[in-house]
Amino acid sequence: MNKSNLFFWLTALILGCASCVKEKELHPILIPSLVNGPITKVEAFDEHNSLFVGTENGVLIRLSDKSQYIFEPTKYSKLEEVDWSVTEVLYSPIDEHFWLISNALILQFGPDFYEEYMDETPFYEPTGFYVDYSVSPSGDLYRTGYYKEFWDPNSGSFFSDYYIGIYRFLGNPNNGWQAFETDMTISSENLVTPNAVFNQTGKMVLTTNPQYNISGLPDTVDFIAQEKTAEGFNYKGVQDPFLIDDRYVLGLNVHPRPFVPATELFSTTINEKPVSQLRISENCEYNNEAIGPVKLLDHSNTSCRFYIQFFSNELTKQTEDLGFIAELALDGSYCNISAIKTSEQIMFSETISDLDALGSTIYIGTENGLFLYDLQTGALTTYFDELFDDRLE
Amino acid sequence: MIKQLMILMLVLVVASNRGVAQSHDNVEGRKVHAFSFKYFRSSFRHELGFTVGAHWFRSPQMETYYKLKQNAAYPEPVFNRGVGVLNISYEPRFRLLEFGSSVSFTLDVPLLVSISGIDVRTDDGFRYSTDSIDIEDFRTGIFAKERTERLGTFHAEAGAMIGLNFGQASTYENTNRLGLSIAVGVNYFTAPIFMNSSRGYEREDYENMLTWITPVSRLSLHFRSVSISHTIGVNPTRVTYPTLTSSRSALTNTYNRLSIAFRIGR
Repeated sequence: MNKSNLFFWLTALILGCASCVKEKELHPILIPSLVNGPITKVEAFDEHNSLFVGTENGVLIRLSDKSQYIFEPTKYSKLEEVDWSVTEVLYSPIDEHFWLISNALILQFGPDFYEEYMDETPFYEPTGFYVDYSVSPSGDLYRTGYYKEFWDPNSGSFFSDYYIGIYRFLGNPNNGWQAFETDMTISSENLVTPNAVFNQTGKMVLTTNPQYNISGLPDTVDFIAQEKTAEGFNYKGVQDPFLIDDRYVLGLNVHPRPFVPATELFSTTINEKPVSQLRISENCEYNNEAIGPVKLLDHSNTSCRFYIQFFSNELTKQTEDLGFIAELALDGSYCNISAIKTSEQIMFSETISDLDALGSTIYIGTENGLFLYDLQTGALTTYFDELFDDRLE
Repeated sequence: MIKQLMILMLVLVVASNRGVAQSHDNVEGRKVHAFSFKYFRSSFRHELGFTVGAHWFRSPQMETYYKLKQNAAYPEPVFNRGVGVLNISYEPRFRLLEFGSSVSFTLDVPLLVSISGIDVRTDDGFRYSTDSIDIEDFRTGIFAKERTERLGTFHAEAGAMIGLNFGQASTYENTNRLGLSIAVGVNYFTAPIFMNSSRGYEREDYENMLTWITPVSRLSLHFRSVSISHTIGVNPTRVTYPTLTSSRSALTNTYNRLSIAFRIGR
């Protein structure tokens, strides 16, 4: 190879390299500035890695692929009518839709999807408060409640029977429900909100006493009553139920909420009578001043996690705790307590409006915005930090 | 990108064919000498160089700066940018292989200190600060603070390049008046050398943004003991980023320097 040839080669190589401009593209990040304001609701669905954040300025949803969608009252005016103190949030993984139910207002959020319904159905008023909502595996919203009370004067009993109705939401334009007014009854001595939970094959379990195992939905209601017996305690049914292996039903004695903690974890086999209870405070050693488990965060096949609310009349100091996360084994064999520590950003437990967990990350809604607390490291960051870190990885 | 690669491949194929056609032109008996410490004087050459003004560079993207507009944060690349006012370089060149008396491969080690202005910034001139942000900032859509002054002054470079030299400067014994060199390699940067500490900018706060390596190439023309060189970055990155209405782009990982150097000794 002579000189000119070699020179030609290298010049070509260098010019070629110089024209090798790498291309990189940056993408905008949806910034939910609404999460910088007061947060009213935080619901994380651990199994599906999705998140619902309610605020006074709208709603943010985040799906498993971390895509986010914002719904603001300026565009969706019904959001202004949400009473955040009485809301229930459900998630339907099949269509990635969130249901928000606030009194008679039913809102549905999804990827580029929004529907609103003002429910004007004249349900049976005397038991209007005993209502629960659940979502079937096919994405249908169900309401379970009572549609009539009947007392037989010849029964010789003071107790009456409440008849259970199951209603499948039909949505717009009917704005109505497909009603299944059944012969399933609950004695007034066991009157509770009839909570429902679906198994993976679409069968519903009504966790009342008697418990009703229901099949045939959405076409019909075929039910089998399963009496439950408890030794040494009164059992009316479970609230916030969840299934393990489609075989065991677990749940709490009350639906917990701030300052109204649950005290018992009930468990029972679906097709058997006995019910066992686990007294949460006896199995989990958290601060005596703590109010107790005010939210069931999530569960696995072996344990469930609670948010233990902590409230002190004294000003919380830097070294103290904002609350606790209790991981309780379903058989009571252990209970791991992790404290959420105070920080500059969150100094007082009373600023926490709601929280939920995704893995080891606790999403904390406060008056000052949404924060993330890493249970393993104790690090507190803002929701924005996480958004940006994800993008820079 | 694919188009550019295809052009490059085409050029190489043509060049390759030329090489096959002309390979018989090699001069028989041309001696090849390898670098030797024994004959270090003839295997070594060094020069002192200067650049006035014609020296600027950008690092690869170091960070991302976000601007809040209508519920979205629009990213902009943040890079370390330097503009040299005056620099002095010293460059030893080790002749690794010499082909006859007028062609050689050299290992060039350019070492450079520059009076320069250094800043970590965006294409729009936002002086990115690593100062932490508080809640109030976040609320108002401020995701990074801006410095009021440039980050620092002076910077240094150390390179390693493989050069192909013809004519003057190629070998010790070459007496041609003119010569030509092409070199390819990398430059290691540390910028700035002096932080603007009067403004409280500390090196540890920016430690991930002050050093990097950039691939470069250089073309040099030699006339007797003087050489003029143009060094450019050979693998820049074009970062395209969106704005509210369209998109923009900024080149990062770039380098440009035009210098004059004087051979020291023979």
